[in-house]
Amino acid sequence: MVILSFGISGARAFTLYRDDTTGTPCKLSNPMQITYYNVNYTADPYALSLAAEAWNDVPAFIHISSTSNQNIATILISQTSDPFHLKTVGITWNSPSKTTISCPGGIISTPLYIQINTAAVADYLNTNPPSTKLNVDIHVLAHELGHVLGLPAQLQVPCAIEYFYIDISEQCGVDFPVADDIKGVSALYGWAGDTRFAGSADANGFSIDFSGSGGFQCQPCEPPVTLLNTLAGTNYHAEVLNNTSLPLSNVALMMGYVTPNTVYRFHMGWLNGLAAPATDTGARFATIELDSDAIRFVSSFAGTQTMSATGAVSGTSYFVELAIEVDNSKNQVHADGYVFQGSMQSGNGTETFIGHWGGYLTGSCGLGCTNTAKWSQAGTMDSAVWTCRATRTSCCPGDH
Amino acid sequence: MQQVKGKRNRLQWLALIFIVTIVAAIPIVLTYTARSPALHSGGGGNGNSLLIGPVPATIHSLKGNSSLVVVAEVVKLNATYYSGLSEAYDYQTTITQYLKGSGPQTLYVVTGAPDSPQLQIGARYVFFLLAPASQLFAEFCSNDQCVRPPTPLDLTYPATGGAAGIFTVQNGLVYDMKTVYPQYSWLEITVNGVAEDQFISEVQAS
Repeated sequence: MVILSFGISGARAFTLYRDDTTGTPCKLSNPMQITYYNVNYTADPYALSLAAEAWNDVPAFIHISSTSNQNIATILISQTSDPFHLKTVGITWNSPSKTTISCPGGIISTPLYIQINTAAVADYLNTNPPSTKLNVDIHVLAHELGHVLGLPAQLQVPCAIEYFYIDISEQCGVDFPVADDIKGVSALYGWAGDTRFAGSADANGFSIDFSGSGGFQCQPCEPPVTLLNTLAGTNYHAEVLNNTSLPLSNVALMMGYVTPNTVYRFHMGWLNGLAAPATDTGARFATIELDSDAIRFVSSFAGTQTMSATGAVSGTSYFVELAIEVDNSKNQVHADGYVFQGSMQSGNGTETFIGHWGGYLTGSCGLGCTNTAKWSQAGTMDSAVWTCRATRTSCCPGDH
Repeated sequence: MQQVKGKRNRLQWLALIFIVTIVAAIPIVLTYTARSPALHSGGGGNGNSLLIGPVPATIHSLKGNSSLVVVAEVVKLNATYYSGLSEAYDYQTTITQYLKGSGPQTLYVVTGAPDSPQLQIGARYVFFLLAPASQLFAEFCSNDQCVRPPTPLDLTYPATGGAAGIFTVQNGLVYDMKTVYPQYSWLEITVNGVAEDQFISEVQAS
């Protein structure tokens, strides 16, 4: 008799590597100075830089950068083509057995090694995955970098970059660190606060509160930055403007943690720099609308795309994420939007995947030119909004 | 007195029925073991890899994705080498029965972390074999990055889905790899102490 049985989800949350002896969670000793050396990963080095930068855009005290000195690198990245393991696209290790990650005393030993199996990636791409080649490459590398940070693959939250199976998490459109991954890495290294692009200014009625519920490097705790609308009214909008170009890193993630008191609308994203008012769809570069009647991705280049036909619900929380990157193979900007419902404060995986939209912003400015963009509005909900800078080398409030 | 005796008889009968039920349920419990969710099990037993699903969920799909299905005995470890992704173990096997396809009496089966275990010399297995190395290397190794096994490529196979395609036979009973090695808890198919003849019949019927 052959019986099938399927795993049943219990607790839904990230997991952590732990020291075998003490049970202490495994961490890197210098999370703000993580470096990688590209040994022979020629398959898509561009995706490697984007995957590292995607983690840098996560609001936690981590920073990953490349180095040309192999001897000091935290991570050595290689590729192989192993057709005997067509189901394994990548593996990370730091042990002599080349199969496990060890962390004596809770500190992850370095260097760590990431090996990408290009045969498995090619085999997966042959199956017409729901994502682009660039996003698949970013997914694989970002997943392995998550192991470096201390996040094991998990089988409980499918819509997460650290889920064990790429084909399952890509059904949610996930190719970047999202809610559960961010909670995991923040639990290890602490939330990092962020405010806005350089040169931005707060509109009337908004204040920035850095205190949060637990301040910096608390775990677990609420993200520390709150963009609080202090004015009454249900149809109030404000803009935090950015007059610079999109990040030169060719990838940018923007995340918002929204705790609505009264739901009317929350818009987050980049405007396209046109003079039209932010409420005009023609002014949107890539934005997510968390409205009472629906949740949508809105862009002047992609139109209005429904992410969830059900609108935002009062009295609960939402995690909103936008990822844009320049696809160098097409010279176009690709965008992904994600919305989760539930608390980002606790570690018990209370968030639920609500919706995703991904696609090219056809006609937008691509590689080699700059988009003039503005950080879009955030109105009538209490929220924490994290944005990114192209580079970050220190951990200071607001510098992320 | 008579009433007490009657009650005692009924209790004895109930106890007998209970015991028979429990005993009868043992093979069912053994076979129908529900899969508990793994906390973070990865191919390397450490949650440190990324896999492509779906993991074969039925013998039918496992067989369908395999070019050969064989019952074999592992004769010896022919070679170990670094395959690129991990340490690989190249075993020489003697085929006792082809359940799908046909071929020579000797085949080589390559296993290794993160997705498949080392095999026991002298042990008996049912292998679902993906494709010969000659075919896989022709498809995926146009560059020089592939490390080739030392055994003849047309006779050397990986198991389909790694550990998913390997079943061990012990004392005439068949077990899947997650039953034997907890780190493979991500496997979907549960075969826990099924009689070899019954398992073979099921494979042949699939």
